[in-house]
Formats: sequence, C-alpha cells, structure tokens
Amino acid sequence: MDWWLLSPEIIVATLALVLLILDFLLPAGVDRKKMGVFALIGLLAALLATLDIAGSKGQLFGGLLAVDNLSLFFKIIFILAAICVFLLAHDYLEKVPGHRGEFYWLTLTALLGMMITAASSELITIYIGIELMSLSFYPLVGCLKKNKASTEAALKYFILGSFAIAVWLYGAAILYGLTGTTDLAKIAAGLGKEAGPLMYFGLFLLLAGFGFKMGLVPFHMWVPDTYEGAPTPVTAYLAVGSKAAGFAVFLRLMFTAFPALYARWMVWLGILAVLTMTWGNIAALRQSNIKRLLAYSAIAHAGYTLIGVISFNATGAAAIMFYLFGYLFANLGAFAVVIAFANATGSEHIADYAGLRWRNPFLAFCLALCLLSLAGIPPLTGFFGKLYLFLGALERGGWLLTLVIIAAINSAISLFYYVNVIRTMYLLPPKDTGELKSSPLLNFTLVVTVAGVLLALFYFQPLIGALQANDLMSAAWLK
Amino acid sequence: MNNFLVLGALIFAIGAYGVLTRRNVVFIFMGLEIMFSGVGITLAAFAQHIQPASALGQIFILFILTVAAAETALGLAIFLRLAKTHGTVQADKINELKG
Repeated sequence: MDWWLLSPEIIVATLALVLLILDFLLPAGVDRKKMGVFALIGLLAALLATLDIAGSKGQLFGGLLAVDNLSLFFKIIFILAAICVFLLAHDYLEKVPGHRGEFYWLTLTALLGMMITAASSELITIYIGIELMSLSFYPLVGCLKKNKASTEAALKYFILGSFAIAVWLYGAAILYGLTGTTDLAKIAAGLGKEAGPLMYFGLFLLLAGFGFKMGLVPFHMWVPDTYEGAPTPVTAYLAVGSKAAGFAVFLRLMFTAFPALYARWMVWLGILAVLTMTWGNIAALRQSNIKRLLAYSAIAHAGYTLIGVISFNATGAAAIMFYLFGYLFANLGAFAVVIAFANATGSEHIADYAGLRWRNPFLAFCLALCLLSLAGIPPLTGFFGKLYLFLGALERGGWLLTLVIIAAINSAISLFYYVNVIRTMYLLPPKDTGELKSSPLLNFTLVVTVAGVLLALFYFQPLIGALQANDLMSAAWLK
Repeated sequence: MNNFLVLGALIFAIGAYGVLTRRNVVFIFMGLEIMFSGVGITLAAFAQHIQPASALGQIFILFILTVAAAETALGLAIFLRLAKTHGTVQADKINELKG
C-alpha cells in the first residue's frame, strides 16, 4: 500500500488532532485566532499534497478507499471550501461566545469525513465517512451557544440527519444481506441482471438517505431551517462541502454498484430531480431572508446536478464535477458578501441590501456576479456547468430531453429571485447612506471566489478535458 | 433467519414510528436508537445466514454501535443546550425558524 496516496487525509487528521489538543491545553484567556492561521497553513499543505498525487490511481486498505480522479477532484473541492471557510470565519468568530477553538478542529474533522466519503468504495467506509462529517457538522451548526436559532437549527439537523442515516443503514443491511458483500464493485457483480422487490426496497432506502444529505425534495425539510440558523460560515461550508460529498459518493455508488438497475433508478431520480428543482425555485421566490433564499437555491441546484447522475455517462459525471466546482466559488462568494453585510449591519434581510451599490460598490458587484453565475448566465462558470449537464443528458437522449426542458424553464424562474436581489442592490435607494466597510480579509476571499467564478472563461476547456480522463468512466459498461 | 429479519424490521418500524409521532425530543432520540438496534438485528441475522464464517456483518454492527454511542453523547449535549436556550424539550414548541 502506498501511504503517500493517503497524505492529504493524514495531514488533515493530524492537524485536527493537534488543534483539538492545543484547544484543551491553552488557558481560556488565550486568543484562539492563531489556531486558524495554523489550520490554514496545514490546509495549504494538504492541498499541495492532493495536487501532487493528482492523476494517480490506487486502492488503499484492500479496496476500502479508492484513489482516483473522482475522489482527488472532490478532495480539492473540499479543501478549497475549508480554506475559504477559515478565511470567512476569521472576523465572524468574534461573535461566538466562549471558546472558539472547537470551530477550527470541528471544521477539519468534517473535512476529513468528506474526504473519506468521497474516496470510499465500500458501504461501511461510506457510513464512517458520512457520520464523521455529520457528527462534526451538528455541533458546528449549533456553535452559537446562546443563540436560539442556532440551537434549533442544530436540533433539526441532528434529528433528521440521524433519522436519514438510520434509514440508509437499513438499506445497506438489506443490500449486504442480498449480495453478501459491502464492496461496491462486488455488489454490482453479485446483483446480476435481475433484482427482486427487496433489492429495490433497499436501493430506495439508500436513495432516501443520500437524498437527505444532498437536500433533495422531499428530504429537504432541514435545509432552509439549518441554513438560516447556522453561523453563516458554517452554512457556506454545509452548502458546498456536505452536498458535494453527498454527490461524490452517490455518483460512485450509482455508477459502480447499480449499473444493472439503471432502467429503474433513472425514473426515480428523474422524478426527484424535477420535484427538487421546481420546489426549490418556487419556494425561493417568496423568501425575504438572504440565507433562506440561498438555501432554497441550493436545493434547486441539487436538482440540476442530479441530471448528471441520471445521464449515466462520462459527460454527465464530468459535468457534475465541473458544476460543483463552479458552484463552490459562486456560493462561497455569495456567502462572503452575506457575512460582510451582516458583520457591518447585523441584518440578513434582502430589503436591507437596498442601495448597496452606493454604500459598497465592491460587495454589490461581487454578489451580483456570484448570483448571476448561480443563475447560469453566460459567460460565467455556472452557465458552462449547466451546459455540460444538459449535454450529458442529451447524449443519453430519450425522455431526458424533457428533463432538460424542465431544467431550462427552472433556470428562467430562478432568474426572478436572483435578479430581484441585484435590482434591490442597484436600483432601490438606500435607507441608510453611510459607507459600509468590509474587512480586508473578506475582500481578499471575495477576490479569490470571483476569480473562480470567472475562471471558466479561460480554463474550462482544459479543465473539462482533464475531467473526461476520469477512470470511473472507463468502466466497460459505460458507453 | 426469517424470524430474526421480521424482528429486526419490526423494531426498526417501532423506532421510526416513535420518531415520527413523539413530541419530546428525548423520546424522538430513543426512537432513533431503537431504529439503529433494528438495523443491527437485521445485519446479525443476515450475517449468520449467508456467511457464518465471515466477520463482515459483525464488523458492520460494531461500527454502528460505536458511532451510535458518539451520536448519543452529541445528541444529549444538543438537548442540554436546547433546554437552556428554549426552556423546553418539546419539539412542537421549538419553532423559531420557518417559511
């Protein structure tokens, strides 16, 4: 076994443990912000380690963890998300009472959970990865200890999350019982061409569990409440990391273990995708809180992304990766502005964003750009991501054409609420004309994310080329 | 084996029923734990029947038990926090966030 392939995980795990011990050893009065700087340096090392092994392929621990382009690409997404979250949280943590050290190491253990989830090719390892991620997220969501909304968000996330994982486990138990293995590739072999109702029941339970993690309708009830109540950097992390981890493992599970049942699950997922994007967009139309709006937009985006899984081809899988990559930057940029605005005014209401153009043109411009990318306006990353998702679906053909049309109509609907925010910022007169300051660190994060949103203009061709070399797609049953 | 599978399914269903109908979060949480037990029984029955020589099923159960213990500790911490901020652990009285 090549331990070097495991170096990103080892770095993140060591970092998390060191910070955990430091947090307990340091006296209560010591400022914990230096831990954030330490964590950032460690994360940069983990990012370099991941980039160093990019393109390599291997199996760790006898096939428990797979190192391939899919897992490595998602690891880069997660580490970038964690870096941005640390940058965003630096000023925000002033508001958190008591110890602040736990934020840093919980973020890192959540990152480790995501990395394991994306790499795991076996049911028990998937379970461990998801639980490591979720158990780190529950306290992160509730880390504003005196805040009622934060505690309530943690409670709802915890109860529904545990319920979903119990349902998922029952599905996994059935799968194990019918095939006698927990290895995804061996499940596909044991499955054969025929499957009984019990197998479909197990698959359905697995889908429900993952649907919760990815925030698909009708398993989305926790998303708006948790996103609104959680501390905003955690919301950004949840929206980008937790969802991408869900999609990474879901992609691997569906493509590796269940190709034989494709005809059946494509219909289920098609229905889920239509429900998810339609309900996400319609519910987002009537939101007045920007975090809730972004939560419903996250639900709608999960619906679009699902099209890539339904396409079940190389283009679809590459499109999911590219889409989530663009989504990472657009979403983190939008949340960075929300944090900057809340730091200055304490408000999260869209109406209060009126006239932001005059109060801080940079913030208004960045938010407008990120929202337009989320809406899928060319030439921003979001547009190319959607284009590739649609191309994958058209390659598959059949009734997926209907799905593409519904997704296109939904994108048009989503423009209403994105443009409404931009209209508020640019056309409505401000209630308070004072200049709105944002910290240099937040400005720096915004520059990074906006650069990511614009990256597609120059780099999307080589990026997509690299993605299509993905080894998941080279499997024989994939046309 | 079938009897044990039915028992596992029944216990899982009882737990799910408890989660969906109870109003006190501690009871909801007990329902969750019962669901995990149901999964464990199902796994044990399958493991004994399809591959008695392999430890795979038992390993799965051990992991579920371990993680469930961590989850219990975390859940109780959240409920404690809830009792302090809201003064209640009744799920239907905790409704600040909606829409």
